[in-house]
Amino acid sequence: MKATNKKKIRNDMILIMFLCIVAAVIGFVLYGADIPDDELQLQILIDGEIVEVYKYTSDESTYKQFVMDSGNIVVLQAGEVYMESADCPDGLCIMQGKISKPGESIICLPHKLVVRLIKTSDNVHKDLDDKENMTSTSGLDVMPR
Amino acid sequence: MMKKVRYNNAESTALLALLAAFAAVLSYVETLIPFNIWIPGVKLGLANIAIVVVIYFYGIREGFIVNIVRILLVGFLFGNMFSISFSVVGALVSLLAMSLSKKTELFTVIGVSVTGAVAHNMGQMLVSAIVVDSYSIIYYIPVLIIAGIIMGVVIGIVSSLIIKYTNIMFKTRNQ
Repeated sequence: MKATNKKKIRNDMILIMFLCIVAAVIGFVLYGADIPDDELQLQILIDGEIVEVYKYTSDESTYKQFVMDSGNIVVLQAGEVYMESADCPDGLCIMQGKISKPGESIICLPHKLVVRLIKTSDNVHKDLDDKENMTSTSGLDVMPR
Repeated sequence: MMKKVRYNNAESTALLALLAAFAAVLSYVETLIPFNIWIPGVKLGLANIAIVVVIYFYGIREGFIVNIVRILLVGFLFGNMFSISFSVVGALVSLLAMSLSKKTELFTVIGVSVTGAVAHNMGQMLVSAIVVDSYSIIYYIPVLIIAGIIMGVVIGIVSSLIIKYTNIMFKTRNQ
């Protein structure tokens, strides 16, 4: 029994290290290079559809507020984007803090709202495809309901 | 040597109920600890201490049922339909992962717990991505994996201690 136990412990270590490596690899891929500001876009999506697009800038003097129909208020100020207020039951979106790098996002699950910073060149995203191909067949406006 | 207890006698029922209550209380205690990670549904998972114990003393099916009972209880007392359905998904995924890793008999309690924790986080993340209909959540994967590992180890250690020291309590007398 003892020999098996030692093996199990060794397996545990292997498992943990494997997971760490996976996390590190994914981390490198995702958090990669730093992008110069003028290529960043601030996007707000509701239920997968882009409802707001704004050119991100880390300018200290910028202050831009997005008041969404859902009751969320998103603010871009001095290069940081955050959820100023929201009336969702958990308020997690406010607690997610400030984002300023590509890939980072703030998510308000109850309102299905996503605020994200994305590289302008990186537009091979399904959400954007939907918007570009938006015809009247769907009958849906891009604006939130 | 741990003996598996059949779950259709009074003693097992009582002990399982006890563990379910334990899990519920752990869930509550969790809400008292300020722990903020940005993704909804990701939590300390303290209740899994009880769930892992159930899995090891009784089995996956019992673990599943106790988990559901715990989720319903906590959901109706402290939460809402939204959080209940989220918890259920996380629980299902994590239980599935734990049952697989336990079956292989390759890992200790801690290893199984880590699999459960990481799986739980991945599952929650997947559901969040679907609900919100965006890939943005993917950027949290590395953080979630690490968090899962840490919590899995902690929970696993506590669970293994409980299993070791309460073994006597759960040994069957009617076999």
